[in-house]
Amino acid sequence: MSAYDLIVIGGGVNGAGIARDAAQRGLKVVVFEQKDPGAGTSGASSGMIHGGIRYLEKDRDVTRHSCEDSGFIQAMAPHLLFRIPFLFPVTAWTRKAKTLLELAFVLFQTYDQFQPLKRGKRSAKLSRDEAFQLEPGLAPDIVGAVTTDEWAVNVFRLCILTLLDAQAHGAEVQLRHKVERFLKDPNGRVIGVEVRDLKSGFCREVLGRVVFNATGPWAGTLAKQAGAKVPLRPGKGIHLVYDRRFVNYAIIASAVDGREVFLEPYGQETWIGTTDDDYYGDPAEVQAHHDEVAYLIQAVETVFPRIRDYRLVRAFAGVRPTLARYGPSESDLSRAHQVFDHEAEGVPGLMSMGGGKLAAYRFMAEEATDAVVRKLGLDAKCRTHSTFLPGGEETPDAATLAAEAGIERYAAARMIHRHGAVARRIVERIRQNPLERRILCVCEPVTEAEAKHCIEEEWVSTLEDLRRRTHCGAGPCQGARCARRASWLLAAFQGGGEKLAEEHLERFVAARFREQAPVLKYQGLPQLELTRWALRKGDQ
Amino acid sequence: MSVTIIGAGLAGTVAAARLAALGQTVRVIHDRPGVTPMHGGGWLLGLETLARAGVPTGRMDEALALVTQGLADLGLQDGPFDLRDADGVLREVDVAPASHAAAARLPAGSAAVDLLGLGHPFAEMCSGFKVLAVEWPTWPGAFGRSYAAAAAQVEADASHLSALTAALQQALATAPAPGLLLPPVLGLAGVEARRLALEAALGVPVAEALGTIPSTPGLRLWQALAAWRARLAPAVVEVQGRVTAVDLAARTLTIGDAKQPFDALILATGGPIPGGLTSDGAVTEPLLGLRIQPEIACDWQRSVRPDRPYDADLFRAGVPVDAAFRPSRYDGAPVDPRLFAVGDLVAGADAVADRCGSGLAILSGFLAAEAAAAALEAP
Ligand SMILES: Cc1cc2nc3c(=O)[nH]c(=O)nc-3n(C[C@H](O)[C@H](O)[C@H](O)COP(=O)(O)OP(=O)(O)OC[C@H]3O[C@@H](n4cnc5c(N)ncnc54)[C@H](O)[C@@H]3O)c2cc1C
Ligand SMILES: Cc1cc2nc3c(=O)[nH]c(=O)nc-3n(C[C@H](O)[C@H](O)[C@H](O)COP(=O)(O)OP(=O)(O)OC[C@H]3O[C@@H](n4cnc5c(N)ncnc54)[C@H](O)[C@@H]3O)c2cc1C
Repeated sequence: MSAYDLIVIGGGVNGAGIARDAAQRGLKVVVFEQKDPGAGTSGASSGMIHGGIRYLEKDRDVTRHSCEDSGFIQAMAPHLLFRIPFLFPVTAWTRKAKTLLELAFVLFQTYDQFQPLKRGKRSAKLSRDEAFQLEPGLAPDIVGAVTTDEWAVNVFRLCILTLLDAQAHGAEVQLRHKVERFLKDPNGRVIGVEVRDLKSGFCREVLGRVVFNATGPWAGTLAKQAGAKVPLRPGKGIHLVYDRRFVNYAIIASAVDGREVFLEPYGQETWIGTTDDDYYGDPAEVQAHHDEVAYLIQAVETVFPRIRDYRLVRAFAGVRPTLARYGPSESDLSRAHQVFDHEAEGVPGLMSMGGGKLAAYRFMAEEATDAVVRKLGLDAKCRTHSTFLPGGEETPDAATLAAEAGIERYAAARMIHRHGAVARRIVERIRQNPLERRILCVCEPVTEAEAKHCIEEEWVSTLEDLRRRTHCGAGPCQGARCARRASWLLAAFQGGGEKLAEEHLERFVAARFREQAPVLKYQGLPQLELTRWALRKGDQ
Repeated sequence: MSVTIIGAGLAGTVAAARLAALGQTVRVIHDRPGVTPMHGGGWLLGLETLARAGVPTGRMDEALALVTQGLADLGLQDGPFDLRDADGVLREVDVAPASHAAAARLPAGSAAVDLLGLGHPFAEMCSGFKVLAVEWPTWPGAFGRSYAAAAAQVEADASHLSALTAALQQALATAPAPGLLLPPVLGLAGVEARRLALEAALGVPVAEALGTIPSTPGLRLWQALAAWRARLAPAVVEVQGRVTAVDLAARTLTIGDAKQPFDALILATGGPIPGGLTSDGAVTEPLLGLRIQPEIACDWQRSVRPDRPYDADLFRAGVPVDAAFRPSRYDGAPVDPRLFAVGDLVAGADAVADRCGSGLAILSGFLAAEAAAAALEAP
């Protein structure tokens, strides 16, 4: 059995980032992900590539790294990012409101010095009237607002593209492979892993010179298996998703306990995020609860009074891999990251990552890979900041592609957002088979060609995988219109018939329900009824 | 003395028609469309499950005859039929409009038609059919729109259908087929006439698939119901507006700022989608706070099995009624001798699992109307 230079465990942003970096530096790499890229914490984040104005006071470094890396990520995959201007309204609840407004402006201006790093715009102070012009839904009792500028990213695509690039540089990507055990030599050095292929159920042993544990919130438990420690204090966070976009600014609100939460336009949707609570369970089981939903809505209602009139579609939950400290409240924990070399604890061969932010994932991967390379006694420089992710080299013009493919301009624009220059290959598919320009998912929209492209080239094995790559079935209709057709396409590609399609559909419905259940009482029940009529079984 | 009906879906309209037939005058109050316009076109009667739920089913034939006559434009035909819907799924239905029922008579080896640029892989999903892909020449780049949108365009402008006919003729000339199954696009009214004309032009039998969301057959049904109520004027009077409260003791209901009197009331307000039931926390009936059965408590989402969310008790929730479709109290006695509940609002039947949506709507509408008429005459 030939050994790998590096075994990466985990296909979140961090695992993917390390695999890409190491593969670019010429290492022989394999990545094992137990589920799907981004299906852990990464896909459950707010997707903000922000510097984190919040961290300015405590962790200036986190802010700087995030801002710098935000700039690099923009350069690597400009198509995946979108601008989210933030608005911080100050309510007239205290007599000090005017002072508060001034103070906030000073803080935002301090943040302005980092903005050039990420092509961000400067902050502005708005009068009450100006704020209403921008966001008519704001509460009437505000005295003014301050703005700042941030970027968000399509996280699932970021993970996928990072792994695709790793693969293009020779890395092996193994999804639905769970690392169950570490292999050690008689001296206690970790020399590989035992990994189970969750599709076939079979286990095999894989040898590697360095094993990197990039399993986010799972990192502590996994490291323990090797007798090593990654001290984490996992923090659960949830987001709510509304059926449409009804704000153009992310609006910051203060929750009942003083925490900051926000209403955020994200693609075609509006999100509310997020909670932060200590979490003790299995990260794979994390699910939003309706009391958390109520907490977030209550908070946003203070600045956006009509929030309850909008329809909630789903709530998703994730677990932050925050570095442990005993004492502070959850939100006060540092977002700094740390690379652990467990050799110091007497477990050579194993390294781990803890803490950190999506926004600095490339930087963190660089630091981790530097450590790996040093360990292997090599000298190879990081190039991830100066090379594109697949499709990042050019952002095609939507109108032109739309005309070439015979699809609506908006459909082309959404496709380009997900695929960048690779969208041209999808259009080429349509040119060869014009039937494939049919719309599969109406909400997003997603063409049949794009779905087939993802199924064939991006490791799709379930409808949830397809959802993560294209958003198909995650929009306002929650699959009522597209899930059956998508199940049919997927089953056909996998060589199965209607029975396989029905199985895919059933699993998709169960997975969607996990995210729908917590919001059902916010006008979610009608949608569930509708989806149920649409997706009920036929009578064969 | 007259009856007031809240709701103008299938159940409310059937109740109005039955009352008109009994010589009564009726007021129908409704606002936005409920689920009737989403109806897939294959009518599910669910006789056995209705009987099991305690609904007297003996007069279904009469109710169905009234509906068939009232909705003559749809040309409802008695099945059962095995029909494909616009997602290619085979569904067994009891009654279907003529243009869909014709699919049951298509010869073996027929082709299903994919309309290029519109909808989705319909034909490929119809197992047992050949695939015929056809470009719809006048379809104005409206790729990705629904069949329902196409049907509305066909209704508005006849040239779309002539263009499609020519395209189908051409396609058949190169790839002959003994029959054609189309997605439901042949307009919204007078569909059977269009289908027959198409058959004559093509020289082979033609039929339409049932609908999916958004549903062409549902829109046709919705229009046909409105036309039916209009024909029943002046016995049936329609009022647009949302009822926000009902005072049983005072016999008044509130629309906007106005309180209006009623003598007898039929609630045909539907399930959660049109707001006949609300689910902000516990499941409730918003107008009168009527008892809900099974009781669905505040934390009900936890009672749904996550792996089988569609099988939950929740979907059976509604207003429990007696044999005359009067909402009943815990002891079984009616809440009020002149209050009735029909259609999706009624407890016990799960229209999806029991496959009885239309059956419950028309039978309950029919029987509650008779009971309401009798109640008005009672001293
Ligand atoms: C609510 C919330 C909001 C957030 N918002 C932001 C934000 O706006 N901006 C920002 O920068 N950061 C944000 N973060 C933080 C950010 O999401 C995380 O720091 C980052 O995604 C962590 O990535 P990761 O790759 O380390 O972990 P993960 O994404 O969790 O990846 C770990 C992967 O390892 C896999 N795995 C686990 N065990 C095994 C095993 N035994 N074998 C194989 N595979 C295994 C898992 O399936 C998983 O996919 C947020 C986090 C949360 C929870
Ligand atoms: C997506 C879908 C597909 C379906 N497909 C089929 C099928 O293929 N075959 C089948 O047999 N059945 C089908 N059904 C079921 C069937 O459509 C319903 O059972 C039936 O239409 C119910 O009719 P209804 O009159 O009870 O309710 P609805 O049609 O929902 O009517 C409710 C009415 O109440 C009114 N209303 C409610 N509250 C108020 C108020 N406060 N004030 C004023 N007006 C009010 C609304 O305006 C509306 O007019 C389907 C259902 C759905 C959801």
